[in-house]
Amino acid sequence: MSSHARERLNDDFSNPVRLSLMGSLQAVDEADFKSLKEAIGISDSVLSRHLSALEAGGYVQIKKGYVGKRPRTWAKLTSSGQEAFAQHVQALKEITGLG
Amino acid sequence: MSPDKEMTPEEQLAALGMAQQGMQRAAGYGAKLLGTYCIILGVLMGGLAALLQLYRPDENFTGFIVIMVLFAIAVMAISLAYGKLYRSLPRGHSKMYLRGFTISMVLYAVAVALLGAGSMGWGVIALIWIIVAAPLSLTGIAMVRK
Repeated sequence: MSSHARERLNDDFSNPVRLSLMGSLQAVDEADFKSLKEAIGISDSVLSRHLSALEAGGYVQIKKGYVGKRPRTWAKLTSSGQEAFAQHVQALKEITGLG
Repeated sequence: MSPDKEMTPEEQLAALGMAQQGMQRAAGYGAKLLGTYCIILGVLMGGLAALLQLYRPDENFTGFIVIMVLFAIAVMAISLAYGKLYRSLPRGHSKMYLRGFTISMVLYAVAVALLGAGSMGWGVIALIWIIVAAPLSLTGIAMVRK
């Protein structure tokens, strides 16, 4: 028997912004900074801070580039990020009786 | 959204659903954009394969060069436009694109190999165009309709 679902919750995703970011990125192969910002409805600085934290945790991969002369940032889930988030969501569903 | 508020599991699931709903619009735009790109690229590849049957390098070298240059310019233009408009890619679409592109490329290689078989009628040339374009263009249509 595995541990209680509550123990399998990942603290890194308990923050609303990080949870929303992970959820948004789960729906896409890759998304740019602006798409994420519009989808979640947060400011540039908040998005930047939380994306960096998720990148430091190895959950998200960030790619920077240019389109013409404009800098652009893309983010995508890493394979370990996908796995960790799927486990977190599964634990949430079990706790709430949906899983 | 309150960025630092702790949430209950129920609130987390609700927030997750909302975030994914918010991302649907961006994902839909990404699917339509890549789909359009696939359709155009497929038609261009099919067109090149067909026109090479008309302008064979051994018979009409100038025509062959003109077609190749026009093809390169067209592919570069749509790739640049795609790169400029690209913002997100729905999950699984890069694999779909790669599959369609690979099949179209293989069919294009077969069409090029057919150059040694001699001149072909208009019906066969049109068929080559359709067959080479189909995998990538149909992939694109599927993406746009999704």
